[in-house]
Amino acid sequence: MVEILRVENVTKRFGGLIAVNNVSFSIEEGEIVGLIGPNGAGKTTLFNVISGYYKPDRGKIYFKGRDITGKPPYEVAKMGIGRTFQIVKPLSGLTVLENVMTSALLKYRGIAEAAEKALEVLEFVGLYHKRFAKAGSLNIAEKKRLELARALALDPSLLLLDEAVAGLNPAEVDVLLALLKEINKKGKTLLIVEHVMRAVMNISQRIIVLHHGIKIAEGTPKDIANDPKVIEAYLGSREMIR
Amino acid sequence: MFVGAETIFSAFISGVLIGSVYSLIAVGLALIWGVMEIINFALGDYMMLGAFITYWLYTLMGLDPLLSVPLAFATIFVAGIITQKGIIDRILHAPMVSQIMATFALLLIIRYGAEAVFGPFTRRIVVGYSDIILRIGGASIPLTRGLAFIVSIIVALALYIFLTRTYTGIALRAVAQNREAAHLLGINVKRMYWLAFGLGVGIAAIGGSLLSTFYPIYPEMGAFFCLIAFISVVLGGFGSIFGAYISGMIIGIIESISALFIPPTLKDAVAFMIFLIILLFRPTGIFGTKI
Amino acid sequence: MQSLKMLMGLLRGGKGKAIVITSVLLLTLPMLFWFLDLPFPANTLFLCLMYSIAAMAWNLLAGYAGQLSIGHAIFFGLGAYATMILMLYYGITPWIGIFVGGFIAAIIGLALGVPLFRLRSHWFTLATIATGEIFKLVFIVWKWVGGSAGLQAPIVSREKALYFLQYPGPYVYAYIAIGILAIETIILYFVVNSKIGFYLQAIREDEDAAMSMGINPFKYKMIAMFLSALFTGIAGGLYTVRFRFIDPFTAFDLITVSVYITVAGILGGIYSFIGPIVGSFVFIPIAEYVRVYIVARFPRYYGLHVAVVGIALLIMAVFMPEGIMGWLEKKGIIKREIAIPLKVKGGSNGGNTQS
Repeated sequence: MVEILRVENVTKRFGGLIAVNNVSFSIEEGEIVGLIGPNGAGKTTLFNVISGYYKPDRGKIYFKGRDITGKPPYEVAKMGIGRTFQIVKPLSGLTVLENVMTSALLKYRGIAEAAEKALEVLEFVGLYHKRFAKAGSLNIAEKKRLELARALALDPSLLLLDEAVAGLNPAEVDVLLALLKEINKKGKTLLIVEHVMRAVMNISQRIIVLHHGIKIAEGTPKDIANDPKVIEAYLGSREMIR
Repeated sequence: MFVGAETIFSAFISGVLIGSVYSLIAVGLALIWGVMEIINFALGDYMMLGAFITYWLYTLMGLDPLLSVPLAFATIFVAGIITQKGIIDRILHAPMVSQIMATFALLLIIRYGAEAVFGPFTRRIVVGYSDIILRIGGASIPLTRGLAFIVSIIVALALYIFLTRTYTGIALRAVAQNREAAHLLGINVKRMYWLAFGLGVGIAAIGGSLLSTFYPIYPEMGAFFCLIAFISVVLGGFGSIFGAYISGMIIGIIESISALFIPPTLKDAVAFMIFLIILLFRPTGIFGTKI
Repeated sequence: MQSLKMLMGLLRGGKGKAIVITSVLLLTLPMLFWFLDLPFPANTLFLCLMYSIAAMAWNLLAGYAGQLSIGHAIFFGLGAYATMILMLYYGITPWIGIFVGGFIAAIIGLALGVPLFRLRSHWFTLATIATGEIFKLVFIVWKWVGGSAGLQAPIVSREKALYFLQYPGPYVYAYIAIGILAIETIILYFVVNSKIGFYLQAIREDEDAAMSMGINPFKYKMIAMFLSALFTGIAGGLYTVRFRFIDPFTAFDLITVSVYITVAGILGGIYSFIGPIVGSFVFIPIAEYVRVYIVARFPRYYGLHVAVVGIALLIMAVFMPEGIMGWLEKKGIIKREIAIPLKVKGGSNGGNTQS
């Protein structure tokens, strides 16, 4: 199997606080990997480092064999990494279609092509009927799907999904999970940060666990669920693994 | 052109003196930005009002300028709260365009309203002690500027004590750091905004009041000082009130010393050069964090 | 080309009629004014056009890229001075000089963009104000460009009138302005409905989100800055040929240049394409009327008219930040459109999407 992402000894500090502490792992093409950990474990920070919003203080990131450490987010996006944000960032003043078209313009040169691709993606995520609505007017579930649509329109090889199902009711969660599985079937690699255990355990082939910025476990969902270190980390902060 | 150490020292002292006034306005700007993330474009003009209040109190009632400082502060503080309640509150969550245009509109109203009402003339205050120059340690310090410096330091200390030792002050800092968290802690965020705005313009008015004792007073004077305040906040780092205060002095010193070498009309250009250099090489400022 | 198809689609619709009517009106008015010997309305028309050119350019940066500048006098003044200097010192015709001036303004704009775009939102705006004042100061002190006295272009003989673009009254200049505005509008229309337009709006809405979509904010802000400064500089050049006298206090004036441009843009509606033109044509006649009939009569109260502009601006900021066009859109009287070519799979109304 081909390695698509390698995170090597990455450390990120904010003043005195070490958010990510010497974390290493690698992901192979076509995998769905979950990244979990109690609140404050450093998951979003790690995402921000991988996607170029922060520079790591130490360590390296390799994407498809190329060193992308410290590259700005737009370079990373061009190379094929798409991401969603934990707190959704719709382009509120633009319509849903325009939002996705903006993404599509990266790889689809003309306005017409970009529009075509955008409509395709919107149909896939189930937002086609809202294509002319202002992005700011959508509800939270729709906004999350818009985030996903924007990331998909980049035709990325790797998708970083930051809490894609947070705030959704169980029915909406299932819909989104089905979508993610479809996306994975099309050949895209997924790295998912999640708090909703049911979701991440359900969909991931492999799980990495962070706690206080340190990787404390890595393995299949079953291994993780039974790992005493993981259980302690979560029980210690009163979250539950179901 | 040989410039002696003594001349430079004189310029240095001179810079510190005027810088202490710059500092006050810079603090006003930093305070309002820090707490509300609004730039008060009209800050210089509240300062101008402070200067005019002192002028009118002196001219019409013979009140010594230094005694009118608290009055100027109080008046403008109240004016600030009215502004905040009436206008700023409405645009706090509005798009950036609205926020900018609103405070900029205030600038136009205050500055040009003053020009229409007071007339575009330049006025000066001349008090009995305007001519007294103290000689301390080889430097000549005009008494008025020296007093201004002392008041500025007092205000800075008072502000420091307020922000670090009183509940209200700490609450204010809490709001500046994290609005949501402060709200959850039971702090009345809206009142803090009023306070911050009132304090910000009030302190700037103190600056104006002090300035009026040795500097010409005219309706458009706010423009220059707002520029200085802005540069000071950039230099000092956006989050830092302390940085703003120190930077005001630094700007004063740099301006003063460079006035020895370049024509005085280019004084503003020097400040601007500093600003560009900071932006290019250290946009986080000396003490601050990224915006 | 696609954009051409979009333009054709646009012209065919209801908007096309509006464009044709306004064009016809604009083209006949100056002639009419000349015939009826009405220099004041004609000059006002000229000013409306000149400010339209500047405001449309300004809006690329402010409305589309989200970088609000209250310092566009920088580019206006540079364009004005460049045109004047090329004409006065080097005998170069303003037919070329105006565009060279615009280009110079554009280059300076790029140079300024490097430090200034490190600032976001309010701080950027404050910086533009400061920069505008500094440019005024520099030109006051700089002897070679005339210092505080400014520069005056002498009257030339009849044979040279075309070369130096010197004609009595505002009539000819109004036509030149119409031509430039038309060209600018077409160019900006293509820009705004292209990838650049989308990217700029993404930057305006959310820079971090924009970066995640592969957009380099600095690069696109610079593109917007270049075009914005270019056309504003051209507007400045127009000023030079029309009035034949410039000094730092008029060319770089905060109020009558920067603020007026800003007000025109905001009044018209910064989220609308033609908002700036609408805003200019509403605001400038009022400003001119006030200047000539009211301010001249009551010089003692000189600053009052600006204070009133301030009040109007405040009311707009609080109650109507989307401007006239935005208000019309909210009321459903007009619809905002992005032009999408006819051949789009699944598009229910091929041609234009509507919101």
